[in-house]
Amino acid sequence: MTWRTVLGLLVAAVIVTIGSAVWLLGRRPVQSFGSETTVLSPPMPAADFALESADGPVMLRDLRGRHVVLFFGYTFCPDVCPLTMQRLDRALDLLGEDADRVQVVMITVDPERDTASRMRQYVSQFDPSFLGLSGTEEAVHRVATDYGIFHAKVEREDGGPYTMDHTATVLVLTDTGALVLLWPHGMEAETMAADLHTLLGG
Amino acid sequence: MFLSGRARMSVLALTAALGPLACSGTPAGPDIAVEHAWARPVAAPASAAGGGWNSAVYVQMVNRGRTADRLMAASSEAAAAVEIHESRVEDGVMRMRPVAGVALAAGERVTLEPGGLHIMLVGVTRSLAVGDTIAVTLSFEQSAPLAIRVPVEQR
Repeated sequence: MTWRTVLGLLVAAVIVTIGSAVWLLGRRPVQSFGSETTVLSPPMPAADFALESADGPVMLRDLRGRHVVLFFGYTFCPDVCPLTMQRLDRALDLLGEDADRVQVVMITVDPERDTASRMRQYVSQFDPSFLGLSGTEEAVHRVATDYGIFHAKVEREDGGPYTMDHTATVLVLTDTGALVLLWPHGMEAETMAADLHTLLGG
Repeated sequence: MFLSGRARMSVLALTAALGPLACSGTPAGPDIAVEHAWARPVAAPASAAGGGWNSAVYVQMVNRGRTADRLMAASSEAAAAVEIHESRVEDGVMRMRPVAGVALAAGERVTLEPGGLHIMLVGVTRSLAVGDTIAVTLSFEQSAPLAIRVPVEQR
């Protein structure tokens, strides 16, 4: 075999490999979500809520037309909550232009500390498009209960500042206000972006 | 070691002269090294409602010594108070609790990382932006306190 023959065979092998990969990717199922993602099929109509943003009242129905990524947390939290918000910001970056069709919402489980204006200050450091919501104790408790979010204030024996136990799952609602995906805590931004891409019909 | 014969002889002589003090590579007590420290950025706008803003410091600690030690506390010029906390997610529920220190067995490496053990900065005294550095002092049960410079990083 001359070196030309060897080179020719190599080039042919590369072309076949790339061709097969493209063909296989094209055959990927349309509805494919992350392995840790819980998919609700069909999506479950979500309860409306009435909460407060720094700019005034917000109801879920006001967000129709955009997919809603919903996280419950609190601004006193220095670890898990910022980690989640940072990953959501990164996920939207990865989505590119489609990010305009997604609204990230963080609802506080700690309305005692978190006013609507404090929520805006908190979420805007991750992404100015994020919406931070608060409300009365009753309003927050109702929406958390409606969405299956456990939350409890934990007082400290040593008199230090209290913390909140809360469900760290992220919920995804369709643009018509139906619960469709659940992301467990710790999901990578790449997986969230891929799930949103699939959901948006990409 | 690539030492000439004479150099090797003098090293041997020095070792013999200083005895066990210099000869042992591993100190008799604990010997803590801190690596890969970073702090989470936080914007701290002036806001009376809800109190101050918090952040967290993450480090890796290695006990290269022969006996155990324990991280007992930390302090920083960048926060009103500093506490050692642990976040844990059980059945989807996030729980954050103060812990009474972090055990460092001889030879052990302990990693403080997001979603787990962290040094919590309670009430930062200023905004912490990427590129800033803060001073943190770690206090141990046995070893002398360690003063470290911690870069603020987006990770």
